[in-house]
This record gives sequence, C-alpha cells and structure tokens, in this order.
Amino acid sequence: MTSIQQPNIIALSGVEKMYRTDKLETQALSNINVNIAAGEFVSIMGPSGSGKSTLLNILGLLDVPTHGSVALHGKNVESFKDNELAHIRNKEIGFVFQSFHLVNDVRVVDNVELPLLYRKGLTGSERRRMALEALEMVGLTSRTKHFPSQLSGGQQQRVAIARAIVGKPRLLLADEPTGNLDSKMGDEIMHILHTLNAEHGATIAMVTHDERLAAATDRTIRVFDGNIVGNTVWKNTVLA
Amino acid sequence: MLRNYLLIAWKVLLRRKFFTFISLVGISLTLATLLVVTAFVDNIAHPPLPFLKTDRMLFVQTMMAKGGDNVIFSNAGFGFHDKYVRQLPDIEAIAVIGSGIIDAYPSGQKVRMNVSYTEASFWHIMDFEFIEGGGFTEEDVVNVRNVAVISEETRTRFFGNTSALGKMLPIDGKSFRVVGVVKNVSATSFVYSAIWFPITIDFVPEARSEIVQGVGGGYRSIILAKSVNDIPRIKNNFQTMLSRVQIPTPPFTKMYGGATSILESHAMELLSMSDEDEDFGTRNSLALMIGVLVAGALAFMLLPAINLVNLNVSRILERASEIGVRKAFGASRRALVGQFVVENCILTVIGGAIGILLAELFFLWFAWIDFVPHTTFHINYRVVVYAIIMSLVFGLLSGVLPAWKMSRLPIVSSLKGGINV
Repeated sequence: MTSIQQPNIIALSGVEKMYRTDKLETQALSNINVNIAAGEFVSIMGPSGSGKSTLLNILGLLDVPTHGSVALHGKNVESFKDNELAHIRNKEIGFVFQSFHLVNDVRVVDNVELPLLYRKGLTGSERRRMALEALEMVGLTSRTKHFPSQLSGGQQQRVAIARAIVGKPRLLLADEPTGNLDSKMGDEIMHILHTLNAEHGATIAMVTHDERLAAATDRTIRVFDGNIVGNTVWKNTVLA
Repeated sequence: MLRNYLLIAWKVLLRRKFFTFISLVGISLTLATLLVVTAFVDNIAHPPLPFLKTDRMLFVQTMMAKGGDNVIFSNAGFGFHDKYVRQLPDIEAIAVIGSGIIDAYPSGQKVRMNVSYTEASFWHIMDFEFIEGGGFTEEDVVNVRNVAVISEETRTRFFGNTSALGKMLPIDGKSFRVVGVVKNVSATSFVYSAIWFPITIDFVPEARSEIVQGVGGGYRSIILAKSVNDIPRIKNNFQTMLSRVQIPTPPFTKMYGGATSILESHAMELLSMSDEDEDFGTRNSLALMIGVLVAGALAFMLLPAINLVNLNVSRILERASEIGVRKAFGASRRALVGQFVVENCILTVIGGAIGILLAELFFLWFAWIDFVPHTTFHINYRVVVYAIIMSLVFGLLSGVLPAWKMSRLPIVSSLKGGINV
C-alpha cells in the first residue's frame, strides 16, 4: 500500500536537533531529510536514544528543530506562532502515546472528546456523536461511560487511538503504541492502525522497537545516533 | 467545554483532599474576614432605621475655616446652619443637631451617655421607630421646654421595663419629661444617641449667631431634599452659598466644606480630616475611600493568594502529562490558562461560600458580645455579591500565575512528566 506517488503530507529537510544544558550539548538529530506521503504507513526504528522519538515529536510539531525546515502540506511551519501550531496539531495530527496519557479523572467518552474541545464551531452533541463514532471504530462502544482505570491496557490504548482519530486528522503519529502491551493486545492495536490506514486512508508514522511490527508497515526509517541510516520499503503490508 | 472543566475541577478537588482542605481553610478565613469588614462598610453605607430616606439626605458636618495662617476643622456654629444652610432652595426640611456627652446617674450609678440637641424637624427627616409617644414639637423647641426623647436602652436604665412616657428624667440637676421612646439605633449611626433634647435647651446666647464654632459649640445639619433629582443642585448651591458666607469672627475669613451624602460624609470623616486643600468637602473622597478599601482588600488577599499560588504550582507537577496531552491535541495557551483559572475560581467560590458561613458565625458572636452596641450585622444580597466578586478576584489572583506558567510548559517534557516549574 505504498503511496510514493501521493503528495507529501509532511517533509523534513536538513533537520537538526540539539539539546543544550549549562554544561552539555547533545546532538539528537543530524541532517534529517524525511518525506511522508499521504496514505503511507511508515515505521521508525532504532535503538534507545537514537533520536527516533525526537524525530516523531518534530514530525508532530510537538518540538521544533534547531536547524532545518518542516513543511506540512508544502508549507513551512517554522515561522508559525504557538497558537497557529496548536491549531494545526488540532486539525491535522493525532497522537498515540506508549503510556496512553489518558485523563483519568474523566470518562472514556470525555477523553475521546478532548481534541474536539479545542475546535471551534462544534456543539456538545456534535462532539459527543463524533466521540462515539471514533469509539465504535476501535470497538469500544460498550465502555464509553467507564473511567480509564477500569480498562485493560489494550482497551486504554484503543481509547487513546479513538482520541487520536476523533478529529479526523490526516496524520497519525504513534510512539511505541504497543510498547506497554502484551503481544496479543499489541496485535489488536496494530490491526486497528492498519485498518485505519487501509480503509480510512490515514497516514501513519509509528515508532517501534519491534521488527515484526515494522515489517508490516509500508516503509521503515532506521535511525541511529541521530542520523537516518536506512529506509526499507516492505512488500507485505498487512499484519496477520 | 465548561462542563468538562467543571468536571475535571471537581475530580481534582476530590483527588487531592488535603490540598483542597488547606486551600479552603486559607480562602474561607480570608474571605470571611473581608466579608466582616464589608458588612461593616455596608452597614454604614446602607444604614437601617432611622435612615429610610438616605437618597434624599445631605449632611453638613466638618467644615474648614481659614484665615491667614489659621486653619480650623470643626462642625460649624449654629448661626451658619441657621442663617445660610437653612436658606438653600429645594429643601424640604433641615434639622440642626448638636451633640455632647453627659454623666447621668440612673440607679445611683454613673453612666456616660451620648446626647443630642436638635429641632422638631429631625423627627420628620429621620424615621425612628417609636415604641412610645413621639418626637418633641416645634413649640417644645421654641418654648425651651424640658422634654426629651430617649432610647429603649435609656428607658431600661432609668425606668426598667415599664412605660417611660410622661415620666421625669433626672439629668444634670434638671428634670425632663419623656415624650417619646425610640428603638435603639446602631452605635455606628450618624444619629446615635441615648437622649434627644430640644436644641434650645443647650443654647448659650452667642450660639444663635456663631458661624465658626465658638462658645456655642459645633453643630451638624441634615438636609432633606424635596426629590433625589434636587441633590446635585443643592450641593452646587451649597458651594455658591459658601462663597458668600461672612465670618464676623477674626482671624477666619473663608469657610470650606460640603453638603454630602451619607457615604461621602463617612469618606470625608475618614480621609479628608486635616487636609488643608481648598477643595475640602468637594473633592471625591468617596472614590478615594473605595480605592483605599479595594487596595486594602487586595493587599489582605495577597498573602493567602501567594500561598495558594505555591500550592497550585505543586499541583502542576502532578498534572504535567495532562497538560502535555492537551497541548499536543491543540489546546492553546489561552485555553489552558482559561481552564486552570476556572478550576481555581471554583475552589475560591467554594471557599467564598464557606467564608459566608464563617462570617455569619462571626456576626452571631459579635451580637453575643455586643461588639458594636445596638448593631446587627448580617449577610444580605449586597454582601453576597461582594463575596462572589472577592472570591473571583481571589481566584484570579491565585490562579493566573500558575496557569500561565503551566501553559508555557514544553509539550515533550510535560508528556514525560519531568518538568521544572
């Protein structure tokens, strides 16, 4: 399901990321050039500390590069103000985190509604309808009134995916979405991600340590010591 | 969105019970103290009986007289009120009042009493609640009759719980026939007194003509306008009249002062005394007093607010992940500030409600110990409005800074939970 003919959703060009403290400078990324096309399912692999999460954060506009440019739909975003970036994240990007990051004080459906709270022009009932639709896509309609702490890890990650897709973003970023789950639950989550990619055209970038999961994506970007050291295009596209 | 904020705010309050308890104690005690002060001010600004017609009343109290290097601040002489103030147009009634303190000996024991000397019109202007009889008449005043109106407390002191009407009141070696008994008035009131005599009882011959206070003593007057709309005109006419006042007693050549509303009069008494500027009595003391009170309230709230800021900042550390998620999903800084300020205001409004209950307990205690004689403080709708405003100001004071800091947290480190605030 590679879509290299499709236009780029996001493109990094000459990106560097340096973390500075009083005594130490750490080069997290060096001269990164990455394009992700619409409809692609890209995995990012590398050992711990290699810079893959930093790369994902920059792709998600959660962090800014020290040098280089980030273009979303061909438009450079480095001159954008905080509020504009927040608006873009809200409309264009969904996030799935390794440790779910659900708000434990509110029910599942309220967690899923969260991104819609920051979108203008939606009524409460519209938000609720969209949240229930997203929960249906991840097979959790029977748990809408539960609190996150009442769910299993796999169910919590499904809630997190529902939250990530509720606003119908064009880019879904997942940072080790199965990292805290056993293999069975991990496979369930991957199945949902593949379905979103295959049937709903979601563009996905996922950080993973698992070669098996990476091999089920369209392409794997390999990162080592802040550099891209490989770009593998896979032929098999669907995880069994 | 507000529902979501309220829901989370409530959950956070319940989750951190100790934090909530400490915060509420600080907030409610602070607001209760401010409410007590507010109730005092409210009692002065909106006095109960006998002040039913305050919107039509103007008070002529402390005046300033100047001449060369000489300055005197005092109530004017009777002549000033009689010859000048009484002649102002658009006045329905005026009552000149002198006051003093006397020693009386009910039941053989010495008691110091506030007494007033006034005119028959006083009973028309003020709305005293008479338990017995009524006010003395114009004839009583003109004929210098030894009559008196007494308060309920004075009746109890001299006559026990029996009727005092027509009985003789022994004061200063004279006997005064009691013509009326009124309900006690608050000790904070402008017309607080134990006994009211006809003004002529106190007269020395010079009193009739004195402009600046002299041997005849100082007098105040209360003006009752025909209508509320006449008030500004009477105030202006008062100033015009002042410029024409002739002072026969050197070294004074000119008088300054004003006919002021009850609140302006209190503000003047509090803030304008011994200020020798020539706008004495006409400057906006009320605005200044409100400014001083608001500044005082803010200063008083500052310390507990700083305390709450610190508690809130520590709360931030626990909610770093939530902040990171909200920002990742598109929450702007403004939205986050709004959320946390709303949460904090909910806490302070709950604190305000507890503060109202505490203030009510304070008032019960004040009544029990007779803190201010004959005065009942209570929470009315105005005080509740002040309480809500103060709670929200407190909420903003203590919520904005932590919320602003929170909104600036970098997303990535917030999500990791490792943040420095």
